[in-house]
Amino acid sequence: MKYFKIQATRNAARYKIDNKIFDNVTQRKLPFEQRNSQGKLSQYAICPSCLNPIQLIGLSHEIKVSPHGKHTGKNIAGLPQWNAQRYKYCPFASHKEYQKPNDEELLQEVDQSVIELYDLMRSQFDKVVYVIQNTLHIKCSDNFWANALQSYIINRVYLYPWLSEVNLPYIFAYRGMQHMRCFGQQFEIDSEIYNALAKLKNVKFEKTNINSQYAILRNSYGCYLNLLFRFSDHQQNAVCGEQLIETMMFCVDDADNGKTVFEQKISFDETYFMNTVRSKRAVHYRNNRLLDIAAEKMLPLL
Amino acid sequence: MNIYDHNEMNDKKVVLESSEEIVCNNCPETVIFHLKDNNHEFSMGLSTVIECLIFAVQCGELPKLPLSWLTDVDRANYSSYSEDERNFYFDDNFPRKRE
Ligand SMILES: [Zn+2]
Repeated sequence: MKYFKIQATRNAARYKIDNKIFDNVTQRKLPFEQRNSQGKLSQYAICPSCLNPIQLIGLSHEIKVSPHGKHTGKNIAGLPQWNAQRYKYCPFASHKEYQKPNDEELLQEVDQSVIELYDLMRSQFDKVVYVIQNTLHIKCSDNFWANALQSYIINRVYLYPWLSEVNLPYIFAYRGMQHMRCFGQQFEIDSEIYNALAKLKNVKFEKTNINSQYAILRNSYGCYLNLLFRFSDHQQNAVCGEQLIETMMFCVDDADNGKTVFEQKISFDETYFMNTVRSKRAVHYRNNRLLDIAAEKMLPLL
Repeated sequence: MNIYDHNEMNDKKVVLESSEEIVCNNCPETVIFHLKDNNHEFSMGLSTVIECLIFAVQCGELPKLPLSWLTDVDRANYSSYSEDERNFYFDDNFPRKRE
């Protein structure tokens, strides 16, 4: 991995693994730098994904490897207790122990991490929607998002073991928007998805006067449009133990004949969502209608 | 038992004046029907029409609906009538044949 945290929370900042940054952020205080019984100094931090203790390798120049983090696999004084259950869902876990994403598996208990991600969704639902709309080149109605959120809650996607603050908007779409209708939603003109749908028989795009870059998907008169969003194949690949590549397939199916009419691989942006959450820029003004929907639908866990 | 006056009902035969498709981003209705009798004009959303239809099915006034059709209606309407067994009979219409 190439990032570390110094607090074991979902919201905690991620820092690049680098000698200067480590020095700045931790000032080499305990428990982040410790000496073993032989007097050898080691640097520790927290895995940004599974929140387990990691040892930072290659910070000093004595070994010629690019700086990276390695799970300790055991308890380290002053750092969170080693959690083997969480480790197996960590994309940076060893290949032998890593459990790949699948749609059936859910965590059995509501732990602190689950609560933090649930609260993050509730307090930042407008920004979750902002990120996913920009990623998919669509704009959907509040009613659509209320229903996607309903589905997210009913299916207890907040217990999806691979959920993190990085992939929250993407996994929200992955499970929440599953099999929802495209009809009546807005698509960005000239985007791949727009062009694929515009070619279809019975599809009509209507320009709006709200936003000139988007058009609403309508049916031609007398023809029922049965186009549905579909997501599949969530994958995590920690390339060379460093950069995390997370992807899913984004498709539109025609449920009348079972054909897939659009297909695109979506790569998750590792920093987009949390940067948007922290951003004070005016473009990220809060959408109170969406926040009200989240407050109403997401009752406190426990 | 008659709970309404037949003559009055005949006088006040409701007719569909017009319908309009809604292209409002935040409106839950996709179609609004404008209705009129001798004395009144009023509007009704498509979701109310479906609710009336389901009511008639549950009373036994109309036959049950095909599950494939009702599932599509639920998706269009954000409803869950296809989860209630009183409303549908099982059909295996896939791929959908509509013509
Ligand atoms: Zn980890």
